[in-house]
Amino acid sequence: MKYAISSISICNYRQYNGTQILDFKFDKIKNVSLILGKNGAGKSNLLNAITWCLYGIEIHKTKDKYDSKGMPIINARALKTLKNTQTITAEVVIHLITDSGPWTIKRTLDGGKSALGDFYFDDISKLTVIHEVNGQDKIEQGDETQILINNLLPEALKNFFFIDGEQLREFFKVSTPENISQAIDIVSQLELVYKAEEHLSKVENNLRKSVKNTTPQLERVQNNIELAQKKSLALKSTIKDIEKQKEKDFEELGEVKDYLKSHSSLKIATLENERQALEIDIRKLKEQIGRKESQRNSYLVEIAPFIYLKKEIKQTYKIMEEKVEKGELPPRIKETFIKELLEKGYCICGNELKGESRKILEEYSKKVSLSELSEISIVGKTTIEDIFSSINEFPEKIDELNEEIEDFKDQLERKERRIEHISDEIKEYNIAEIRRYEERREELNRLIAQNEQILLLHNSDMNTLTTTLKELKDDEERELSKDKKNNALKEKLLLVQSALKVFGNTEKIIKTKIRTQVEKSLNDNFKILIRKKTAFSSISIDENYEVKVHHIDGYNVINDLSAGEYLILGLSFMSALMTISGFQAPVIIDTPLGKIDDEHREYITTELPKFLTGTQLILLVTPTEYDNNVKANLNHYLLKENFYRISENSDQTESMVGRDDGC
Amino acid sequence: MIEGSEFNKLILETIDEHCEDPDIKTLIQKSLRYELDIWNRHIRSSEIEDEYTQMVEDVLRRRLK
Repeated sequence: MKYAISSISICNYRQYNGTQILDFKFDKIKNVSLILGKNGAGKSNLLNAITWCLYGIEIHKTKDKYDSKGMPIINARALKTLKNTQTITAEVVIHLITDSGPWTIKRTLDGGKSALGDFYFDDISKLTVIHEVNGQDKIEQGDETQILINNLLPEALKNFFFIDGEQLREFFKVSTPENISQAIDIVSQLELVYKAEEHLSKVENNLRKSVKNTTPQLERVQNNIELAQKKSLALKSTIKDIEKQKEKDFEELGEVKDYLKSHSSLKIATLENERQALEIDIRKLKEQIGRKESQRNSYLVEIAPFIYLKKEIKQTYKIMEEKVEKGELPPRIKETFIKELLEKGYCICGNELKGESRKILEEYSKKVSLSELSEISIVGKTTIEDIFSSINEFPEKIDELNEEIEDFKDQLERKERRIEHISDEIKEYNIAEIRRYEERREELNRLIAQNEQILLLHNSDMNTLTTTLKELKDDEERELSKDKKNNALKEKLLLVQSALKVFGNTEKIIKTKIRTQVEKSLNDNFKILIRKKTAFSSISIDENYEVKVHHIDGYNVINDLSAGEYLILGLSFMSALMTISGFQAPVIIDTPLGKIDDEHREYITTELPKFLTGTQLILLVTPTEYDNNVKANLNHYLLKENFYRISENSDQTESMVGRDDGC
Repeated sequence: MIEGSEFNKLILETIDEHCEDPDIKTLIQKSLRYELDIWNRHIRSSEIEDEYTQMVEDVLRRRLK
């Protein structure tokens, strides 16, 4: 946004007592405004008033910090006239003409005199901005107001527009390559690129940490699932093969049995029939033994705690019995039932309740309602009685179960022995084929039993594997739900990393381009402003940001320039930076012509306004600077209304500023 | 202010030349825009981090649309 100052109003600020108003007319060609004042009359404080109003900073001082022993920001004479408890305000108001309408910027600082006669000042000044929004004036105050000013001209750029002539002359004498590089970074907004990079790097680090923390287990879990699945497949295949083999063996066993059962030898057929019947019995017996053993084991599990606590239970039961005997633990009779009897006045046997019997029942009723604990004790006593009786029954019951099991086992043993005898008999038979069949039968039975054992183990392994796989899949599901979040994080990380890569790739290129642009602009400006056009061949800013002024004979004369040449170099550099920055603000120079020779003075005052055509140029000059030649030169660019003079009171403690009619 | 209007054209042009992905370009522009907004202001680092995180999320959300 382009802007120019249309007026400045100063009230009770520094040596300016009361209100001083400076109005400026803006003309693109007659772009110079002049404020003439002796050294110490208040020129620098006019520049300070402008920067204080805009940024809360006086150009040579720290932001809003005032030296309590130095001159206060509020006019000293105005303070002196204050009575106790009176307040006072220092105020600077700047009116601007901008592309988007007029702006008013006001900064105030309150102070006063306490009841004890001490002066006090607010720590922080107040900023108000009035600007047009949709045709209406909008008044802005508070923390964010400064942003509006920074949008007009960022604080970091203020020194390139509001220039102290003395500092400008010294700029290239004292500046290091780092200062030059920094100045270029600030105006070109490369600093913003560095900041953006720095902040994006922080986001990158945070995202990287988050990605790492979200699914550290997923890969491990998925590897374990893969392994478990491979194992499971292999085991399934082994189980299937064994089952197939078992089936085949069964089929063959059936054929062998059929052969023996239907053999022409009656003896063999009978023996085989008997054996098959025995085998059925054995299977049944084994089932019965299994059932009984399971029944016995369940019973043992159930009764074991009671047996273990038999002594304690017995003791408890004894105590309870004693309580009952003493009448402390009533039998299980409901309180309501006794109350009902007492109300009716008759016993369940039909006799009237009166005298001693009624008295006993009434006392009993009180005992029943002793507490809820009595009911619990009754239930407890009954339960303990049951437990106690089951403990007593234990030896008998367990013996009974063991006897039944033993009986089944005896039967089983007998039948198995019989089967062995049958086998021996068949094996001793005089027909070789029968013997061979019997041996095969035995072999198949052994193989089937062996495979059953193997299957049992494999199936157990399979069950474990299935459980493990299920658990792993649950883990995976959990990790995957985290992984969704992880993918989103990864996407963010990639975006941030790509942006950082672009910054990294372009940063050096941008910096080189900007440096080249500043260098070109600096050369152009210097050639326009310098008097000795042929003495200097060029100015260079190398990649280390070292500025060299090349003499026509090839020497670098940066350290041999005159005060005027330094000023021109400084002005050329500042102008180059202004162009690069893209901000279009007024240029205000305090004491631009001090300490420089007449020739340069004349030259600068001829060339500078021309050079800055279209830009408001406010010069704060001393009468020495404003000699006749300067006066004659500036007359071409100075509107009469824009010429002000600072005057002082007789003891030179107060300053006033007013239009100079002698222009 | 219109996005990018007051940035140094040279910076934006160079970034434009070296970045084809529109999302990355948007993130860069948004971050530079934000840096300009907070230039010379004292903003808590956590607030800046939140703002950047939001920027990244906004760009990705726009990509999904």
